[in-house]
Amino acid sequence: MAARLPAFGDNRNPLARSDYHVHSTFSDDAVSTLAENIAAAEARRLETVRLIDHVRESTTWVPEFLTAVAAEEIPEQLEVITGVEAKMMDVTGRLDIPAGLGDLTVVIADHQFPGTDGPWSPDETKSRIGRGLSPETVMQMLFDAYFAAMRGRPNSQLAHPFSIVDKIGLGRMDATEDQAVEFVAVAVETNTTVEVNQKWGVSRVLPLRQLLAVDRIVMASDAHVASDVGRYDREVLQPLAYAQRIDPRDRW
Amino acid sequence: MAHRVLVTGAGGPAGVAVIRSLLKRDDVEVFAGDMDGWASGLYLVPADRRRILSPGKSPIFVDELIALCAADGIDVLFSTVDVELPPLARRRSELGAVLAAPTLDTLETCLDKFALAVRCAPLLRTPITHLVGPASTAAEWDFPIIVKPRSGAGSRGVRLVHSRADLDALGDDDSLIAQELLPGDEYSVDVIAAADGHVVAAVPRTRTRVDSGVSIAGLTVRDPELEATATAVAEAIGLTGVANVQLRRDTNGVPALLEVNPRFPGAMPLTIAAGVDMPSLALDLALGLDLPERAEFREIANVRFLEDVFVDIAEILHSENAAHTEDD
Repeated sequence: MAARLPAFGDNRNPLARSDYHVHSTFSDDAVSTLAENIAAAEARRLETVRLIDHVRESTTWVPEFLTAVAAEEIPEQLEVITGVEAKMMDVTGRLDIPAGLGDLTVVIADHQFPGTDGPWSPDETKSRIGRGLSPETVMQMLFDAYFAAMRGRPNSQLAHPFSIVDKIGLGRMDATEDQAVEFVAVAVETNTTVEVNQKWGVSRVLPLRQLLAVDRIVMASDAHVASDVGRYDREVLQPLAYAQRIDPRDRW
Repeated sequence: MAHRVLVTGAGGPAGVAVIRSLLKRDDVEVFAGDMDGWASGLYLVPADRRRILSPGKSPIFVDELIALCAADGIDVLFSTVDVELPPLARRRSELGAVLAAPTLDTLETCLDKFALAVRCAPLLRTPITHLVGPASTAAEWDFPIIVKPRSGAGSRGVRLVHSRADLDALGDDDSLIAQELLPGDEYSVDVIAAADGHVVAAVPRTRTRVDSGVSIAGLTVRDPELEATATAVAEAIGLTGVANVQLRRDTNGVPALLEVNPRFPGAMPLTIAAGVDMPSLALDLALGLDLPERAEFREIANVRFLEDVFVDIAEILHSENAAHTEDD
């Protein structure tokens, strides 16, 4: 299979024909309408676009959002799917989502650190580390939150996993190989989709080559404006192409 | 997790030496890269850590390494190949991994033998050196002298010029330098300098037997004068990290600078065995760890032989590049 992947420098990666993370005006910080995002996806000839917006436990507009998407005219060759993006609240993997989502896909993010008693800001987390909370413990809490969140809500999608790690001043060396291996195993077991996120790049905690062991890898622009829909830079595409290409089981 | 380190040039003796040194550390995962699937050092690391690279001269070489470093989460990159170093150093900040190599200024100075001589002449004994042209015509020489390419490694293009007529016949060619021929013994000095530029160790060694440009037997020499001269060279070129300084004694026995290879030499195992594990120290340097003020070494000799690595045929990586052919 790897032999048929694009050559290095060729950005037409099959995964780049989709965008699994596009925000609309239902999110406070995004500027394009659902229709504008769908038009942008069509213009880029995407095969699949996932429209998602940020929710919290108190969010009430999800039914309205789904109705609005359903009312859009969808181009024939484009698959439009939906979801909501929510942060992990604490180390038990509790998600900041409203009740009644049914089987709607939740895109799970580590916007805040999942603490023992609720989300900790990066500064608060750093301060706790400064006061003696060990980096090993902090990293284990983060992995535990991910494991629990994936098991608590199978078939979810992980947005830019481990983006919190840089923000709290930790790095790959604070994680263990066992944690990385378990992360991949839990993602596979729970049918979790994992993003390669344009905005957040490739986490060093779980390098792409390891991440590719997860069956469901998707590309995600994290667009907050329609012009970013389906747009991926070389900085993301080339490592992905490389990681796909160098599977030693395939000769190329 | 362990530090992930990629060593390129895994087929060369320097690459093998660096790989073997780093494999001894339990805090390192060593990845081996080479343009040729038959590069021996590839097979010193586990199968999932072997990487085929484009040739260092390829326009996509650096882009590909940047992608590789991101895809594999590489923390530190050791390049043991001359042609790879300047392009990598030019884009050092983009690599995503720390490049365990001297600065671009140091590399460019070393790779231009005229610039190197000019830089070092005020500070230590250097052979009289001029660009081939008016300067070499005007200079007074004791023939024979050496004429060699201003840039380039090894003995390629090096010739003895026996008379002024032969020198003048070369015309104006500033890609060549004319250099005083030094008659004395030659030494290779492996040098490592810390981030602040202080020299941690300078280990002189002989190249008593050489096969295909690679030293296959030699010994380390404790000689304060050689060590001081190599240290002065390292300071003159602003070295951080590892370089190999080649010295030769003049008629008075004073060590003079021949050239500097700003990379790991193939004979590095001798220096490691003498007590200074330069690849390991260079890794510490790349990781931002403090190096010792000074590392001591002892006098020891080595002889080398070829060694086999046996692998399943299916494990041999295929590449379109051959690093060596029968024509080499």
